Amino acid sequence: MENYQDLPLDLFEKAEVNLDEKEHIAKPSLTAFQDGWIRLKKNKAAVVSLFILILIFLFAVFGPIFSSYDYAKTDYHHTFQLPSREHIFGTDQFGRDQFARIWYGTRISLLIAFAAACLDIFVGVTYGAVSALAGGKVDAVMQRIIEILVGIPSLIIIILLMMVMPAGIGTIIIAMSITGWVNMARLVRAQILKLKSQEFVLAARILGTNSRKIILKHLIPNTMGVIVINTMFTIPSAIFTEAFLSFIGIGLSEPRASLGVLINNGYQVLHNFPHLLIYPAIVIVLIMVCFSILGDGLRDALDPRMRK
Amino acid sequence: MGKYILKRILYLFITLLIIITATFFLMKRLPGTPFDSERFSQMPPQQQKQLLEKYGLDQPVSVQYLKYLNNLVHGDLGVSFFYTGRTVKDVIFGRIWPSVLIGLQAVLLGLAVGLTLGIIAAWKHNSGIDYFTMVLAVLGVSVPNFVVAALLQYYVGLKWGILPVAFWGTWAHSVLPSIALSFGATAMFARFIRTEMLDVLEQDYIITARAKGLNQFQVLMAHAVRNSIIPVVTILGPIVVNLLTGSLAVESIFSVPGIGSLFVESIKSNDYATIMGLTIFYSAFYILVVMIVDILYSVIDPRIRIQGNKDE
Repeated sequence: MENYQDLPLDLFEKAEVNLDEKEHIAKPSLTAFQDGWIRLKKNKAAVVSLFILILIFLFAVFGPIFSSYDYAKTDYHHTFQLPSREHIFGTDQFGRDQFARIWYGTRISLLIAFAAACLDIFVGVTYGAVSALAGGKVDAVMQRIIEILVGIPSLIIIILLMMVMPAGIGTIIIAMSITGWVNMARLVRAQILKLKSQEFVLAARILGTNSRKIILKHLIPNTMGVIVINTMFTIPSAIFTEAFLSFIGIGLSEPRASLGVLINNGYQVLHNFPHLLIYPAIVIVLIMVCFSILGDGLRDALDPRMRK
Repeated sequence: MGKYILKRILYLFITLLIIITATFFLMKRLPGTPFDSERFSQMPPQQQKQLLEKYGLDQPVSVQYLKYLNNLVHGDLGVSFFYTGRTVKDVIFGRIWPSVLIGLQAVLLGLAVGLTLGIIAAWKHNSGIDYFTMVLAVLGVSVPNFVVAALLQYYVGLKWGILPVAFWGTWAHSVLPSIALSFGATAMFARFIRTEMLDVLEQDYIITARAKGLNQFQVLMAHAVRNSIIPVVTILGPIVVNLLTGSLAVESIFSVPGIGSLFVESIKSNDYATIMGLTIFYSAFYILVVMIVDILYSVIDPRIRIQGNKDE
């Protein structure tokens, strides 16, 4: 087309520009979590992990109900039974049904882990948020405290506390939470500090949003990702710590069962009855692996920038 | 830089003092006396008093605390209540070498296996060995080390009879505990270096290196590995924690006469003096390692150093 000016005008038609149309959002708007959920669903390993975790969770809640045996009921005529139709996972040295004990133990382990995680979230988020929002001298003092706490090897302190406080579930939860919240506090503080200086917060401020609304509507929702991801790593580490304490003999004690107690009992008779160690070990490994994969998946899904 | 190191050393002492104080007062709250309760209660009051006097337990807690601090400064951790007549320092140092040997072997094994696997996994991204490494990395941080140790003992030691099941004597006795202990470290090293390497391999200078005609091996060793290995220093802290906690369970399982099993034994026998001594020893070691790692890292990586200065 060398001479486009010669073209007759009636070949052209004025295009309709609809201003409303231009601003129309074709896709339904998604919250950050819906967005993350869509991304998470694409990660097959994470979805499988989530499924297995839900299954284990259901077994832990309902398993003992469906079993016709009580977790603490001894039967000295049927000790050390191998897995059979009557006792799916066999029986232990007191003739207690291992199936009932494993799911009861899983329930206790999960309970301890969730409770410890909740305490971590509560203390850690409050501490981190106050530190970041207050700023100045308050922040400086709070950070110095954290720097000192970080230096303390937590397991040693947990062991000491376990020895001093009366044995029980509550003690384990408290002992783990005393040192556990520090990491959460640091992450939340870092995230809020980062958000505080970002443009959308500035924009909200210019538009006249008050501080309360900025915290509730902008800062907290944007920190949820960090909190969720960190919790995904706190829970398995709490399960591990409980199992470890019970294994070296200062956690829960008989006839209570947790995965750690079961593994400890199984270890005592490993020589002759390896199944007593292997079944609870499989459950604990499954829980830890699934949380680890799900945690990684959530991190990729909720914070795509961190993806590697 | 000097200011940063001074600050870190100051923190080290504050943290240690807090740990010592917390340990001391927690131990004081424990019920009963550290002595054999039955025999102690049967003793005539005169003898009870003498025994308490001998260990300085008749004085007020605050005096005991100050005395303990003073002794600590002079390297004296007190007398063991369980191993009669031996100082805690002697008990600890008498059992430290098996732990050092196992710990060092575990770190070296973890470094060798973990780094090799991680580097190959990143180099052959999405290959079979990459998946294998990822599975190993997930398992390594998920399977509790006492389960690994128990299974190794059962299969390798008992069923196949390749290596000694437990106890201490020849070097062969240290192999299984070292392997059990290294499992977590191997996984952490492999996972970390793989992520670092994948990042480095995307960098422009790798393309440059390839473009100027270096062969694959030179690109890998001289550019990719060299640049991704520096940050490995940062995970030494978590690795030390992993090894310290691991050693408690692993040494107990394999009956290694190290300080890990000593800790567990003294917990079971209520040997307060030894528990305190070991708590302080472990904490000091851990804090020192973390400090050295942080300083080392700021020396190696100038970016951290500059940021650190800005902070002040």
